[in-house]
Amino acid sequence: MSSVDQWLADVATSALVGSARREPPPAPDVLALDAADEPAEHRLLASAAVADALTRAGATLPPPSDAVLAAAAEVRPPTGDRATQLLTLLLTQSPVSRQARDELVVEWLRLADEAGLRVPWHLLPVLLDFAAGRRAVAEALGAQLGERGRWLVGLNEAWSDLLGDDAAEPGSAVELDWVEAWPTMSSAEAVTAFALGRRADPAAARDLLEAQWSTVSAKLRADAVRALGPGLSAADEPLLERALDDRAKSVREAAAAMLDRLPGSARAARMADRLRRLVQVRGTLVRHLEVDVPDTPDEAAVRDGLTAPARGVALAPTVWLSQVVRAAPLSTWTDITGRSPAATLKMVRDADVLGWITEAVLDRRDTDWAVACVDHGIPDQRLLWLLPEERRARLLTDWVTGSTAGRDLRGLLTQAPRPWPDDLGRAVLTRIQGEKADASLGHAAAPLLPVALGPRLAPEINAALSRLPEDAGHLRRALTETLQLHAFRTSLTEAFR
Amino acid sequence: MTRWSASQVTEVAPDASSMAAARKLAVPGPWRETGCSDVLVWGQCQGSGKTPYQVSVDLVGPAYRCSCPSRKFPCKHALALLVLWSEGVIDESGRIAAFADEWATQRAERAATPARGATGRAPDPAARAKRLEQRLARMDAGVEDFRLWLADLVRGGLAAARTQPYSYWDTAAARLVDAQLPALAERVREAGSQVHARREWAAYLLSEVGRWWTISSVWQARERLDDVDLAEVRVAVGWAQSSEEVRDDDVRPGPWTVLGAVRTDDGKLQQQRTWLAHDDGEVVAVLDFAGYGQALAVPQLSGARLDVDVARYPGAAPRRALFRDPPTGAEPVTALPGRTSLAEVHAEAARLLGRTPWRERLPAPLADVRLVPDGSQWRVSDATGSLPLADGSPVWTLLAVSGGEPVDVFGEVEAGTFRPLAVWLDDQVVGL
Repeated sequence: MSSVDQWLADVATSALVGSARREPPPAPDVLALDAADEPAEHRLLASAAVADALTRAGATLPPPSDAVLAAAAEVRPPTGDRATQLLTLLLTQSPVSRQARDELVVEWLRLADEAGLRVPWHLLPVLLDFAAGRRAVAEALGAQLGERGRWLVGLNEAWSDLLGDDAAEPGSAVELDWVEAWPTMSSAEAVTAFALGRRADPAAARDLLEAQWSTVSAKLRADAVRALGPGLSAADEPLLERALDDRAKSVREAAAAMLDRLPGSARAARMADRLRRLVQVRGTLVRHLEVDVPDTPDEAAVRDGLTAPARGVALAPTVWLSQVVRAAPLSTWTDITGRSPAATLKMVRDADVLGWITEAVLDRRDTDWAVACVDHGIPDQRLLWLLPEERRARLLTDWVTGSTAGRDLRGLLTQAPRPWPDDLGRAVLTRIQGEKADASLGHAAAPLLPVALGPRLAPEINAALSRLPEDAGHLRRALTETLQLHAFRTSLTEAFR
Repeated sequence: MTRWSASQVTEVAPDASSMAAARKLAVPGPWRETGCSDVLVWGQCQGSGKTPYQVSVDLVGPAYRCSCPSRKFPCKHALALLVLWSEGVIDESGRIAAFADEWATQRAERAATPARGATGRAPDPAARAKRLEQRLARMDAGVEDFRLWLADLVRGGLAAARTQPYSYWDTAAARLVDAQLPALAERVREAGSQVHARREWAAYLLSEVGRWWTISSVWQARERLDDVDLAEVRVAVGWAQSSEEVRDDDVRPGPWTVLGAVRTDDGKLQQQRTWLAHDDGEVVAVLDFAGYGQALAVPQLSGARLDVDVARYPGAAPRRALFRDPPTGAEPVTALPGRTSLAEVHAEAARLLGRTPWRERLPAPLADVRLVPDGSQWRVSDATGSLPLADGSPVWTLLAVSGGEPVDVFGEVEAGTFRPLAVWLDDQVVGL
């Protein structure tokens, strides 16, 4: 330690405890401080002043450090000024609502990618920060980030998940050796692994379950059977038949529910048989179907999933009927009547039976029957998602135009693919304006309008704006935003042209 | 006046949400009776109420007026009007709307009044000398009082001072304010909070106390100082020179190149520092201040070559300066003036401290530097050395535009850290 360093340390000590308790050190001659006549505290203050200047001015510059590997040269050119400006706007001062903004950013990324362009460098950090909290945006990231973007992502842990390979995405990861590891997993892990494995390779998952059937717990057997949905086929039938004989009720029920979805199975044929015995065509003038309730189920029927009769509990025979209807193939009905599904439904007089048939249609995801049910006026809105797209939009339009009571229009409109067909948009617009405006529909639709109304509806939107109810500020904002959004979309498309 | 660019409009917004709100309003729909002249933009905006808001913007100030009740300043209406204007949607109009004209006239009158007042008082040098004498007496007494307080502080020791309540520092600072020594007061207040916030508080406080002693000693010796040193010690104690005093002194015409700019906001005061370089290498800093609710001057774009006269405050280089007129002729350049190495900047910092030990901030036009990782932090490095980046530096933007290659960066060196303000690339200058 040089004399100056020693002096600096002594000054610090003296200052810490005070000059009253520790005499300030005399300055080394090299500093040429002449203050010996001053009182101690002044000498200490002068020392502190010199020490401050000395320490800062005398500090050495830290040595150079090693650089990181530089980014590779870009292949793609950056987006043009206009497109860049639009992305800047969206990311930093969005003129549109939060939801619309995410969609527009995704759209921007798609257009940039299709045009073979890349995000300008200076926007990468704000874009990556933006995407880090938004799955939809993160999924749209790719080649348009350019070499610089990939390089940058590698440097910042907060962004490291953004460009993961598809297989590495959380939630869809299948370990390659999951089949070997399965027997040793905890039951929670095993259920997840099985569900994932089933998605990736249905046959491998089935073989595994078959091989391990007698060694795994009843709970795991039931969970695994429930997870067979993806890739369910006739090949799964032997395993499901075996499960019908399982000791555990939960496994048997799971198997029966799975078999409900396999109308070509032997069990379905047995159920069809049971159903046929209960259904008669009656009437000469107006032919209709009469459906009897079944007798108390025998052992075979119970094995197939009908609820076992219990001593002392009076079970309504309709319970068994419902189970038979839901398990029998829908074709059983048309076979009995010799008519189309629509005509067959007309012959069913019993509302309960119609309801169970509808459940069966929903289980099988049968499009033809779904159309028939809707034509028949069955109000179940779950049928909507089985319909062909164009048909679905028309029906939704009818529902919006007609009475909205009793239907969860908000849910329906939220789930409807966007942008809405123009007819649907027009129908909604009509219902929310004028004197007889439907306030609850207005509230339901307002948050959706900006992203759902198509650009061709501009005249209708403008017309609606002038005819909104007084208190409908939310709709006014939503429609104004819709117009802005359309304008923004147009400029987006033009910017990449 | 040339129309502003979209980013210039953005810069005057008080916050991002105001700007977002303004974008929504920046459509012709709600606007009526818009127009603009060389210096004014005006229009009426239909809000949710019955009467439309009357919005006027004085482009020179810039100053804003709107009849809306918003406390944001400028409000979204004024911003929206500016957006429309910058996009060329608003036409030059021969006739200024009555409300805008009235406001502009009022402003012009107000602006003229203090000037008249100043010239009115000027002829009485005796009164002025007396006032000056009084002020100096008060300051001298304040400095003497401060030195007694400092002596007490070190007699009892820094460790004991640290156990004092915040009022200990605040009272000392208040006495300095009363003695018209506001810059010293600010340092004392800051120390009062830093002494608890910092880990190496003892070294920090020892440095500060030493610096306060230096400043107060220099003040007491001021009669032996030359004009440059006197100006420096005036800044250090907070005896500001008014822009009126400086305006006509030591004017230097352009072109001045904007090296970079930074805005800070400590909650009470916003500050904007714009670093300018002349062709011969002289560097000055234009400082703008605005209190809460006021708007800072329009920022100048880094890399712009401004055709403007700059008046320089007295003091050591790099000097403070002000624009005598609103700058015009923003022709962009991309070659960073005065490129140098970290070692050179470091040596210059030491020279500056040798002359004015309490000054800390120095412009640093660095050539071919890279950002390099240092644990979870980043440093700026060239072949001669490296410095840590200042807290809050835009690391990721700097990395994104440089890609890890050496680039020219302008920034400030302060207290052993580097704060990057603009990246000078081959074909563009990116303000950070």
